[in-house]
Amino acid sequence: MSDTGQKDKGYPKTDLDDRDFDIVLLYGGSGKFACITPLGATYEVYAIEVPKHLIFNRRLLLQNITLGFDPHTDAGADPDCPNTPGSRVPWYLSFSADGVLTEDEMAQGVKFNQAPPFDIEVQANSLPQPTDAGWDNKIYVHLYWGNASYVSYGLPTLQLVKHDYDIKI
Amino acid sequence: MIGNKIQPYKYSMKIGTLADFELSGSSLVGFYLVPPKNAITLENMIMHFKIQFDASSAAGDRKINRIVVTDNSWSVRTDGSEFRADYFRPLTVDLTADGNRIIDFKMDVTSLINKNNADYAEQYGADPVDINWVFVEMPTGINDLVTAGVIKLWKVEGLYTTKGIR
Repeated sequence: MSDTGQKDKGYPKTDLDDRDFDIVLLYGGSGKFACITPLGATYEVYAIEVPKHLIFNRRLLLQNITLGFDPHTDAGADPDCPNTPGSRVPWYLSFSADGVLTEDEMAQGVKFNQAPPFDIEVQANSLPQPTDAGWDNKIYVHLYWGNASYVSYGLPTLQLVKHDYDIKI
Repeated sequence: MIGNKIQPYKYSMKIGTLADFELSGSSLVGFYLVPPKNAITLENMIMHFKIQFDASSAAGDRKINRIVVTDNSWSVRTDGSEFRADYFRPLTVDLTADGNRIIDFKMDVTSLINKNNADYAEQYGADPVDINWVFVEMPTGINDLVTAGVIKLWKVEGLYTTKGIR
């Protein structure tokens, strides 16, 4: 091996002192992440499990988070997506002890027609209680919008922020 | 004899490696190898890509259709047309996964790059700059999957000329 005769002065510097790369995910066609899709149902029911020895539901604080449930009519396709949001439509919130409400009953619920985020405070007189028929330690939350072709970026679900209740000691 | 002292630009090698990245709801994945801040040109680029598609993916969707080098993001529309960036060099590769749902390949993408697109970008979505995005395009069927697969390895090596004289 021959000697190049090169003599370095000082310490060598490196370029690798910050990030090396960036990743991007795009969609090709009807990408579910990038494109809005029809809800495919007219309502959603889910249960909030409560403590076993609960005797009275006093108050429930729910939040429809940023980019939460916000149903719109389907304005049809644009060049990038098969479905696009049209105008905002109302949805209705109701509760039950057994998860059974007809669509007509759900349509009598509290009406919302605004952009998330917002808080929803529910007082005891609107909540199911352990004395109700069919109570199985769950508060069933019913969200009703009435048209399976409506679209929403957020899923039909609300975040539980606070639950005040009385318990048997 | 006339002495001629050649003063070539310095070369800088840069390597970026992504491992065990869960691919979700996307059939177009782009990799931007961040050049050295003082880069002038990108001379060579080599990549190694290994993906294992999820068992829930359709067998016919376990494919890599094209490798694309572009200076910005683009999209394939529902009617099959493309919204394209200024610089767009696709190469159809049509690779199919093996019995373990894996595609593993190495490729010299030098022929696809724009050598002058060696700008340094702070982050994706910042002001448009001349950069080389390397995209892997898969069938649109995997767009509908929350878990389309796992990119086991994505390694990109770039050889840049940089300012300063050796």
